[in-house]
Amino acid sequence: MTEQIVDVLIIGAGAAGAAVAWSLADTRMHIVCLEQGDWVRSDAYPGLRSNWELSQAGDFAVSPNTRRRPEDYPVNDSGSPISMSMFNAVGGSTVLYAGHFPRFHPSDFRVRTLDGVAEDWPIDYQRLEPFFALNDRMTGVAGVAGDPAYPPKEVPLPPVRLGRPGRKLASGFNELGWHWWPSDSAIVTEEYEGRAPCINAGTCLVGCPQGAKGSSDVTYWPLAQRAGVELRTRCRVREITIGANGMADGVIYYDENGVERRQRAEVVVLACNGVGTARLLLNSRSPQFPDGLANRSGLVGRNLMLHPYSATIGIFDEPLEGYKGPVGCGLWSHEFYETDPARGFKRGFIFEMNRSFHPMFGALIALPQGRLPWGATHHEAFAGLYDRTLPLLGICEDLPDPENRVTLDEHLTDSNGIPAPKITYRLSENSQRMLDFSIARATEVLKAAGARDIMVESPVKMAGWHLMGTARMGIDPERSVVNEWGRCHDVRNVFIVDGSIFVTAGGVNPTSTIQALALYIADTMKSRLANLFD
Amino acid sequence: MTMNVQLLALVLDELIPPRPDGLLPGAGTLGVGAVVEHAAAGAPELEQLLAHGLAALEDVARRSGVEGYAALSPAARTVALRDIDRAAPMFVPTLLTLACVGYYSAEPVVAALKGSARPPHPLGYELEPDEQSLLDPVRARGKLYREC
Repeated sequence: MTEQIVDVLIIGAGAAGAAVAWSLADTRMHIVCLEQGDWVRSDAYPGLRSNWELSQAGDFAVSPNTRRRPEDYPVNDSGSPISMSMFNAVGGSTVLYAGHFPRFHPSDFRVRTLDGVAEDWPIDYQRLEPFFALNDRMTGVAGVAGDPAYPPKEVPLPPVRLGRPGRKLASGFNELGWHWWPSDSAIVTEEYEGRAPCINAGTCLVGCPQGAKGSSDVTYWPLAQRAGVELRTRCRVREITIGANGMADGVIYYDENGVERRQRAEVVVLACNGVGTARLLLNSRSPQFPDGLANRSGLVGRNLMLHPYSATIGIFDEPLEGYKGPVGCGLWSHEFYETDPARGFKRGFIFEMNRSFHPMFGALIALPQGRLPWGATHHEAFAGLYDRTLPLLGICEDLPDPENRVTLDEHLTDSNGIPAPKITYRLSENSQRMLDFSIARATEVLKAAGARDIMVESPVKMAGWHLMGTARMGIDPERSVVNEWGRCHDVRNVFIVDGSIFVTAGGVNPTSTIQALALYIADTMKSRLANLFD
Repeated sequence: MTMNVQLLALVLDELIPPRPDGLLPGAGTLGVGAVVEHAAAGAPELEQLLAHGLAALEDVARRSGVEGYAALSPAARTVALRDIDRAAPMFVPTLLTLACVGYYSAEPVVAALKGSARPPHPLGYELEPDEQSLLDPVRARGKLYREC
């Protein structure tokens, strides 16, 4: 049993855990991070092999239930039309993300005031803006300054190139007079802070051996470790323990050999994503917290938000060379981001261009559409689709619903016997209307860009990447789990810094905002060190 | 019940046959059966589904008076597979999905489609620069975000 007491114990080495570790490191406190996954060695990335796509159905699949690595925990998501996607490693899900890196909009923090839905955040865009900017510099964000969809902001690096798919789509948007802009991308397009530039290999979703994609294992972690943060991999936390004073006094975890260990700490920071954090809190039961740690409000696990995705796929007559370039980074459109009562739903969505599918994924997308028959006509059908598809994703804001939630499964456990999370989630009518609207608009713009035919998947099944809302922030302890700077109302030395503290989901990919929020919380902690628990 | 791997290869060749130009073999001949077996090895329900489907195909063939599926003529194999597709609707779509996973990630197929089997890394691909004037109409519209 380890009885050393560390100053700060961070659980989870993904996007948020890495950012908070780096920021707190300059305090010279003794900081330890426990991560259940491991480093992904650069020579282990599938993109170095010609059959790399096969790994998307295996050890680099987005679903832990498919991947089934020793470091993964299973998720019972049979009660959801959208499956959970995540990755357990140093860098967390950023290892597999596309690197599409929009910020939340100013309006996202004021949805109750502006649109009469959900709740306002206790902080606003202006509060987070310096941390967005810092995070953009730390990550190495590429794009074009001056996007009229946002208040003025700097963009550190030149944009990812559009390629044929992007130019076609841009012309479609221009024809309709709709907004589009080169996406802010967490992908370095020039040498940057010792990282090599993107080579347009297109394997982002199974990791980037080039190190050009801004996953937090290559951005924050090397700097945090150099500054003294200790990162222990293959260590899975079972529960956070509580002392007699009602404060957290550490955690119990299993090391890489499955040996149960204890780590004591003055401060515990959770960064396990919107499913993992709720799971850990619910698994941390005690006489003081019989319903799970920091759960006197009953809100831990509730208000799970996912971003329902529509995928509208244009089929073109000519090859698009869509396998060249970062698959999920090219251009975005914020034309339909804000509420318009005429549309029949509240809030909105962005469009994110994807590039053409590679052979395997292209086939798998076409199969459920009935576009790829077996037998004599198979090859002809495939030839009409391969490298001729242009997917446009609608990322829809998901309003909080307390019935959408993470609980603990009664039977399913991980390899250490820890109860697994169970997802209960249904699409709201608002989301369904938004999805339908996004498909209609995507069809318009794809046809304006020259598509001869359209395929649709909605909601996209394997799109449960964005896990938010299950320990939301707020001023009122009855209506929120953490305060306006991430400290649990019920346990004053436990902080949460991941997407679970989001009050609303916005209609954009959340990683930029998750990391800005983590940096803001770390900064606030540093400024309050003398009275952190008051 | 376990899968008959020879039969599996024949059925895979029926689902994804050789390309008419002769540049690519069918899925079974290419060895995609190994991918199917690997997927089924960790998933008992999947293994049973496939094994039962293959056994049912053999039964259909035997009822037509031949020794098994392999003894059927090419046209009769297609008919038998369509019969099974109607009788056991999960079998063919599931096997076709696995066939596509194995076939379209296999080196010879990737090489035939892309003109090269080289992995994407470390050479990557070139993309030509974009015309920034494409953005002129968007700039001309002005601010889009909502003040608050």
